[in-house]
Amino acid sequence: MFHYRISGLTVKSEIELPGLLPAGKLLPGAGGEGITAATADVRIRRRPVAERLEQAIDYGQVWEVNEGSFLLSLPGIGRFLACGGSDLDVDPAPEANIQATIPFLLGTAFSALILQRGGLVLHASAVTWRGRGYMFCGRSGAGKSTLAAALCNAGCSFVNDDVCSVETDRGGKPVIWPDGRQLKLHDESIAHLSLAAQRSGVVQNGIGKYYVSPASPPSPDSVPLAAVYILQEKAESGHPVIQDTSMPDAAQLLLNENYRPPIAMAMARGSRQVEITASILNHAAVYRLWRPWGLAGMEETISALFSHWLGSETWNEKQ
Amino acid sequence: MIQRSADTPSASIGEALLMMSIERGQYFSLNSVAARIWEMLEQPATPDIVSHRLCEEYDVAPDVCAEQVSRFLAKLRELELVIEVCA
Repeated sequence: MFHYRISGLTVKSEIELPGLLPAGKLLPGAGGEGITAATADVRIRRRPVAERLEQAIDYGQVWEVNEGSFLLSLPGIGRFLACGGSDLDVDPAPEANIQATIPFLLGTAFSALILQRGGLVLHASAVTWRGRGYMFCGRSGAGKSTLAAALCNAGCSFVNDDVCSVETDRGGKPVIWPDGRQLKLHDESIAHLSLAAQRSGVVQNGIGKYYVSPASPPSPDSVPLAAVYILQEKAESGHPVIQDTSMPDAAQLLLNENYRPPIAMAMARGSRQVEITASILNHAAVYRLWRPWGLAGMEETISALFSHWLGSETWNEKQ
Repeated sequence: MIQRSADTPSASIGEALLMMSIERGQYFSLNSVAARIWEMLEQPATPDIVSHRLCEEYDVAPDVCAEQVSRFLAKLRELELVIEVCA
């Protein structure tokens, strides 16, 4: 049995999950043995999954949703069933390798499970700096992971890559959870950021990406979310530009950056997605970030972000 | 009579209200007066009832209020956020 921590949830899995750090490396003093079947928030099992859901209320080409379950069926890969926000079953296709199912298990299937638990899941990477969390959303290939890695090289702490859930704390403020996901980076980014020593296995279906461990183990505590940056296409000026957003555009931007927007919509009824979005708009901020494309302009982007955060700190201290 | 259509999740942002149309995958925001109208539409109401109540709560001329309520309700109908119900 393997133990992990994903998006603030303790996970007990029958399957080893490359791309995640074992829970023992994340929970000082607790260790993986601290998670039992009884205490784990989520249980991942390899078992047969039915082809269809009963009484589906919404569906897409490869997924179905009913009152308490989410089914993902990927021909040639396998079927995935998330139930009640606590159970995730994976059934690899006969011709598939279990390793091929893992990106989908940890991506779409796990994000559906977080939605079942009432969370908001964004397609984002995230870091912390001076105790505040910053998220970077964008389409696949927009450079989210590379930007997070570069920020960690510059003094930030790693929170998450690719799938990032936002919750609210007891005071209704938005928080994100550092977890055991490793960065997924191309060789070019790994070389540019001098991260070869932290590189591990190749990402299945990752189109030439490798798993890269963060420089230091992520903290087990939640982090208040300060800002979400939506990565835009190439900056026309050739220099980074950070632009404010306002309601309802900011909410729509966040909706568009859901990890899988159609699935999030299908599961929106009775969920807390709007409440969490409002919490982000009330207590954090949403910005558009245009930046020079590629690795050459990375340092200038990092510098612009630190200036922006220092400006926000000064502004907050005045409040 | 008009009433909110089922399942339009919403949350407050200051005095404004953030609403999601699940059908359209789209967010809308309402200012404080529009949010008050939305609150009234939790129960079925006619445009006249809504206008009358607003005139009691806000300093607004009845004809101006009626026209603006009519325009706002038409927008809500267009966005399928409200439905017609029998009295």
